[in-house]
Amino acid sequence: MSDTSVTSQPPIPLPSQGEIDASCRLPILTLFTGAALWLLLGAIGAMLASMNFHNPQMFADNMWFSYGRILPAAKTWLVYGFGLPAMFGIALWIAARLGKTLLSNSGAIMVAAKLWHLGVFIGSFGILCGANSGHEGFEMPSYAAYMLLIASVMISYFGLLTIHQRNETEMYPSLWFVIAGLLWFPWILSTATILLHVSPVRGLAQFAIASWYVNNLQLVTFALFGMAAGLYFMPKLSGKQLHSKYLAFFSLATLVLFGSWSGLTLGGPLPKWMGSLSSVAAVFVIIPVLAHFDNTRRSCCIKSSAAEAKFFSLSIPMLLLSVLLAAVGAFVAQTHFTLMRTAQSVLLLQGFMGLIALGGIYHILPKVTDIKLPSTKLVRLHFWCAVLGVLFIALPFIFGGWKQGGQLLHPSGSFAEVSKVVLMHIRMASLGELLWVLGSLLLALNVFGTAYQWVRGIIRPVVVEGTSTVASQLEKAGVKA
Amino acid sequence: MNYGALIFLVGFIGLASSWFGLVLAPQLQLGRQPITKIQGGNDPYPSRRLGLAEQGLQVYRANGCVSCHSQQVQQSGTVFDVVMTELGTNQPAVVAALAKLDSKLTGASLSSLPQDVVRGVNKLQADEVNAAFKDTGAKVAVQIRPVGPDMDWGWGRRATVAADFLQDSPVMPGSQRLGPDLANVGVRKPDVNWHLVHLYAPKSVVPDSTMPPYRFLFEKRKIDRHASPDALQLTGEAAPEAGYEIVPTAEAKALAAYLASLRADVPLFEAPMTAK
Repeated sequence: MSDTSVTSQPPIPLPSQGEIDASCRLPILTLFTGAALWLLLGAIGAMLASMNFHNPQMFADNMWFSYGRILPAAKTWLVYGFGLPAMFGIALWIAARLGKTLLSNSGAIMVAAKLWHLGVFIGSFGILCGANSGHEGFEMPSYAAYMLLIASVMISYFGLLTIHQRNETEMYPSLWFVIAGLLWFPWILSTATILLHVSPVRGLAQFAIASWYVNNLQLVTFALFGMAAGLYFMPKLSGKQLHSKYLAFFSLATLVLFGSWSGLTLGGPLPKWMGSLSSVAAVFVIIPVLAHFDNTRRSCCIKSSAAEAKFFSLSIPMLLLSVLLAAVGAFVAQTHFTLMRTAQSVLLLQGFMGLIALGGIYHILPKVTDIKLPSTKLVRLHFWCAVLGVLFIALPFIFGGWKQGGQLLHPSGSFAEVSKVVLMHIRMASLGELLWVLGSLLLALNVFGTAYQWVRGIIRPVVVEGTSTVASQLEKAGVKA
Repeated sequence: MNYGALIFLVGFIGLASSWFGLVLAPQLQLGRQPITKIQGGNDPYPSRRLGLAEQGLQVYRANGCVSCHSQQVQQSGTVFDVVMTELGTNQPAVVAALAKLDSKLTGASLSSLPQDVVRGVNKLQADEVNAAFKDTGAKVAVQIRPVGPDMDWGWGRRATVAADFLQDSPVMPGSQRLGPDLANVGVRKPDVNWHLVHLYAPKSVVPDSTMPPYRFLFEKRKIDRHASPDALQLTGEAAPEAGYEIVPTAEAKALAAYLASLRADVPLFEAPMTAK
């Protein structure tokens, strides 16, 4: 655009922050209220799943709560119900705020968000009824996967459109990560949906593709959105400048390169070259995470007065721990098939993605609704529930998994001894699961409290108007009796 | 300063490379894999599971059995055994050859063959032992045997390979071993009834089992005039009160048939071993 054309027209005033937040209101309320509900169900589901280890007889007659059904459902609620909608909401809001532009097609995004939640609803109850696809991490039955795909394409498209229409031409690093995430997620979801559901590939190719998809969802997509949030919120909440744009670019480039190649394990029935390449990549993933850690630690916001700041600061050490475990797991056979793998995914999903998503919800929700959170005390309490919960789940799994792996590698006697170790550590982790149930209750209180006040704020003027006397209405209109 | 295009390109290349590497390449290498042949014969492998077992795969999938059970045996390497199958007519020469070797087999125990001459040696040593008996008239065979913790557990005789999964969809190699590996459970427990009882009341057949019972796959019925021929033979705590019987549903029968059909124990080109 040349300078002359700009000067010939009166400059269009940039939308104010209030207007930007208002444009995000409906889609983000839809995304976040659904996320809060699914997190609660997911935490309760995980708790119920672990009850199977306290008393195996408990759900013996109950199809829905048997371990093999409630566990995939709970994971689906956590990842697809809570994680992705929360991350979408954060990404869209960051895109609008950083571009100093209104959210594009917010009505359509709201429809897509509702479609997404409907897909999660149908898919997760499909899993409970036995429509589990059999691919770990992508248990969604085909019909639900189609709905999620359509919704994610819509959300990504309008998100990218928002960035395209930005008024601030220079892109802050967070936007790079958001763009990459919005492009990559529909890509991997469409690949998985087509190659595992529409026309399933043959034999073990399914396993390779499912592993690739799950890794690219849980590690790459969540890290892209999570790092975008970290780069945006941490300097903002601590009041410091972002240390380096170049370091941010370095972590983006290395994350997409190494992260997207990791996730397949060595030693299984897959051809050796896949596991070897993937394991090397899993070690190199430490690089982008360390770069991000170094970049954000200088703007650490753990001492910020905002209650949600702690979530962002602590999420990055959790990610670091998770990729370190994954790097060890890539080469040490003692971790294979053990609870250590579970610990790694708990640190990634609840530790990193969960904390970022919670922090994001607590930060953004009051802004878009223009209503203060009902209780910031609960936010502080939730922080401790979430962090201690993750540690109480991950630590027993790490130690128990290491023991379990040792026994699996050195068979002595019966398998029952392995089972006993596993049982004890899963029982210990139930405390962490319980903390997550409590935490998600606190989130639900705040989110639904806000939503309730927002709805009341809309309905109240209408009710007041409808129920007031004619005289007072006339008075309002300025007509004197 | 706006590197938008560069950043986009870097991200795109990085992500797309993994799509080519871990989606397209596996599809080209594994997705087109033809049915193979059992090593040393002409039989195609794997053959399709029988109808009920094929349905059972879907019950296995629906109930998330993969959450706790892997179906992939791994091996850390292979070793060789040299087995003497026939003594021949020149016993003194055989005994003399044995004396030169570091073998547990002695002249005194040659009466009952076949017996191992040496076990767990490498290819070179196995060939040497084989050569030592060349002129003695005894018949010895060199056998190849995969080893590893999974073999010590008795979960399989060789590693699971891609060919083992060719007839199944979805494939469920699993990632957890909260329970034992099931790649060869049909070899260990070929009896469908054992599986049915185990599904209904795991502790009744494996006292230390931590597996939750899958009672919802069974029906408890009042015995009318005659008992159902399908009713489970239960004893002890698991048995129902008098006048009642436990009958497996179609799903339970299919699942048990599938479990009994799980076996990946034939020698293949990519997983060599000596067949029993």
